[in-house]
Amino acid sequence: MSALEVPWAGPVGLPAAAAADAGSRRRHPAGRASGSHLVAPLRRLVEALPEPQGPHWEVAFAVMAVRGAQARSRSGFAAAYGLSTEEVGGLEAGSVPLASVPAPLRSLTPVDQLVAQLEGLPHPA
Amino acid sequence: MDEHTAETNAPTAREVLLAQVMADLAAGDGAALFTLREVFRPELTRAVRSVASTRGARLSADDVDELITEVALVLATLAGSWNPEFRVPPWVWARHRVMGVVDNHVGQWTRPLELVDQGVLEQADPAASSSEEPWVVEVVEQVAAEHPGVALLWDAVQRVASERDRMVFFEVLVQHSLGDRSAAVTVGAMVGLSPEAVRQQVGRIRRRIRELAANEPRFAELADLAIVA
Repeated sequence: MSALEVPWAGPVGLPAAAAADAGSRRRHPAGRASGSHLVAPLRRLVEALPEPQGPHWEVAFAVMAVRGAQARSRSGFAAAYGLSTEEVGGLEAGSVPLASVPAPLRSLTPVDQLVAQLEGLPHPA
Repeated sequence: MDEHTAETNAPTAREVLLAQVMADLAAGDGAALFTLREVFRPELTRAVRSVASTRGARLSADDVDELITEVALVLATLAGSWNPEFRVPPWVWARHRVMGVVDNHVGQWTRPLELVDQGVLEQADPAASSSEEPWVVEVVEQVAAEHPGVALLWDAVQRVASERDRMVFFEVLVQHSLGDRSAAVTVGAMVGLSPEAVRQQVGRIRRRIRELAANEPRFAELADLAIVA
């Protein structure tokens, strides 16, 4: 019998341990996406997309990038973070400053990091 | 259309998502651009790399990353004209635009003159050929208008396969005839399908043509064709 065949050689824990581990990893702050993979396309797409109406265009583009990368509709995105569809619409219209972005979005998505990356760019309008 | 054909021709979840993304793009939803880029990255990457390989150019991961953003932007401008019913992915449907994006990036690719052997320069050039090769299915359609045998096969394939599947079928046949031992891999890269999906699709079409030949006297002679066996 090789070492791999002994009963205690396999992973230990509850039957659903692997799925639970994966879920925990996603929820842990260190396991969340930093959004770095969205920075380069976002900087390029800011030049191409029509600019939002409101003054906080960085927030608008950042929220749009996060929602798009998650492949969610406005209503689906709103439900996922406990917001209303109107709130998401307001964020994407650029009418909300970063300080007023709902906490779930700021803590669970890379909106802050993306806004910081866009702040150095000139206004697209 | 029998029940089996209807079942296998039902759009996949990914095709449904793609249709939704393109509809959102056509409606001016900027977020859909990120969805197209992030969710369909493997397909866009394959489309970009396959064009670059035909140009003899090697792209870095950063180059590809930049180019798929440009391709997504191009596809966004065409979104309103794309029809999901034909079941041809937009990067295949708009392949000439994808080529344009890659060509703009790669530029006029060449080797430095000092690295070229003088003997090579003195060799006669090969005969010129068209740089824009048509899809095999387009050629088959043209030949079918003049050759009754090809017309019969074309008619049968139209009966049993969707537009995309017809393209896959004929491209695989041509790759086989050219000696490509991994025709499914080559064609899969061209149309954005896995090699397994291509093999399954070709096998299904062959089986359906055999069934058609067995059930309808008009198509009986197709049963003897090597490409159907």
